[in-house]
Amino acid sequence: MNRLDKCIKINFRMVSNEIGIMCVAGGAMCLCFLSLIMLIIIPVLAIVQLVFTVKMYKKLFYTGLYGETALLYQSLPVTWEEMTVSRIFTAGTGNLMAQLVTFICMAAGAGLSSFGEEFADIFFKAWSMTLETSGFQTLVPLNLLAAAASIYRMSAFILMAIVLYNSRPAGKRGDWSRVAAFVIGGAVHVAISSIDDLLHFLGAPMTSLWVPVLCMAIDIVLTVVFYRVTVRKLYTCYALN
Amino acid sequence: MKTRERGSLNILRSRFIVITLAAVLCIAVGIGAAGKFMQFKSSGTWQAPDDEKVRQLLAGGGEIVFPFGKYSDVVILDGQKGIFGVKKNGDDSTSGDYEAVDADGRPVDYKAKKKNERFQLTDEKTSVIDTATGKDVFRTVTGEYIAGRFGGYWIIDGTGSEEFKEVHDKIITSYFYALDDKFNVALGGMIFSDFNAGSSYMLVQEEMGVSYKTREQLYGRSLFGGSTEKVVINLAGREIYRDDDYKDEDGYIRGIAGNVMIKGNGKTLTYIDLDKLTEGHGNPVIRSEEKIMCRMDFEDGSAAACIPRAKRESDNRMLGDFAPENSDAEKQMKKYKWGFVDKNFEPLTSMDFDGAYASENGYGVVIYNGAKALIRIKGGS
Repeated sequence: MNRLDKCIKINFRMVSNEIGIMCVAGGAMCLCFLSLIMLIIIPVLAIVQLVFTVKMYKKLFYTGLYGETALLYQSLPVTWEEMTVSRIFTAGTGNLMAQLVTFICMAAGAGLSSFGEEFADIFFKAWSMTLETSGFQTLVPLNLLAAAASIYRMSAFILMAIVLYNSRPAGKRGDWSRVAAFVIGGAVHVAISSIDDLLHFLGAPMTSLWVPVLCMAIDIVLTVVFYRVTVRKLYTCYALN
Repeated sequence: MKTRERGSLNILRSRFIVITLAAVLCIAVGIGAAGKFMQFKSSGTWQAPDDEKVRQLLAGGGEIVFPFGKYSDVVILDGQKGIFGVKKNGDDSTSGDYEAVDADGRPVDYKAKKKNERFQLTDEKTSVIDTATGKDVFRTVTGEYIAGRFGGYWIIDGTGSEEFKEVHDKIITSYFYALDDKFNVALGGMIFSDFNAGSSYMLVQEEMGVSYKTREQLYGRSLFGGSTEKVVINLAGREIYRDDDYKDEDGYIRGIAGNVMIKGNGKTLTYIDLDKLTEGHGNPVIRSEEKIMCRMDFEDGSAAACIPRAKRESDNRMLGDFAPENSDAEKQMKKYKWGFVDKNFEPLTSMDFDGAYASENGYGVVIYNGAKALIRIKGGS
């Protein structure tokens, strides 16, 4: 097993609890269609999933770099490239697994319930797919690949944002600057994530195949860019207090 | 702090990364393959049942006119004259081009005739013309249009009325009122939010506490404000039945089909003969049924009826008169087992069809395994 794989393995072990809870919360959503009242549980489970997603990112991207376990991970004989790729990959894959489990379990739950078919219709139509059209053969898989690419891009972006923020001189890191960084970072992320909406707004049909392909290409390029910026910053500015 | 040396990185050397990328690609391809399979299944490749199966399906209650799969689609154009519209196999277009044929499959010259009525609705549905003079005899208020006809009554959709548009924000989804054959407000100015007009009876959802003269009160009502009651009205405009307080153990009105009213209490459905209810003689209840049967039309003495395949509450959309023009119709049909019954709910065929359309003069269109057939029902008129 090479160093990168070892690094990935360590990172997965570090956040295995969080990923497990995210997947369980997503899986539990299949029960939400047993009756109308159970639908209330969906936002609860979504919040649980969100909380543990944040915990996972914090453990991987902050605690392991600048927090309590930073010293331990600095002693590992890995390059910053390997460290960065392994963290982005772990966070992205954990997030992707949880989203897939959620999607599959919700679809299965909706299919089994008495009113699930209506919900499934709305859900599928919101994702520009129908079971009867040829677009389902190519549009859904492309949407899935584009979603996967966006999850990794988001992970790379979050890591870059954390590294950039913590690379600032100590005097310039305060509560307000943290809030500002969060707001700016959030706005940039939302803007990037809305490229497909912008394209549809500009006239691209909802069932066009090139939109997810273009978004996927943009996400891959941005992931590489964010990774390179992160690595560069780590090499030049990384310092533990 | 340890200074790290720069290193090159080939992510494809990582087993985990390669496996994950491969897994995501496989899932994507798998979904695509599943979609292709589902499209293949739904695109009309069917397997016609063999003769033995056809006998079982008909259960001695009918005979095949057009065998399963002979045509990709069959509709009844004129049951009395035995004229049917067919689409040849391979023609999956959704256009309305059917070939008119007789019961032997021979082409016939057929043109749909408009009902020979003196007053006819224009295509815009905003005016009625007198066919004798060609002139408008009635024009709706701006924003309103004629939503339907029930006997001599014209049903007006007043939701978009310009009169109220600028005054209040619209919250309710729609409201209707009726005009008589002289285009005066009828039914006592009743306002209703929904209606289902058959040939002899109409089911309306009356908005309580508001009439035609006070209809502006509808605007500004919250979604949960106001109450409604279902009412069955006959051709004379007389109220035959009203659902109020749901006192009956039969439950509340679920729908009407022809001259049959269907009530349900969550466990059973009760079918009530509205003609007998109107006369006031004898027991109007045709049947109370725990096996939920839906969608019937007794115009010709037989009706298409269905039982849910799964043991769960019936689908409200399937009750009462059914709209074959609904593009989701056949998809919804698959949730039920279908057959034909007579007016006493005695089966005329088996209940194993995948779908069935309302019969007309003893002819019915049935579906099995995606293939359609035209049958003549014994026991229908």
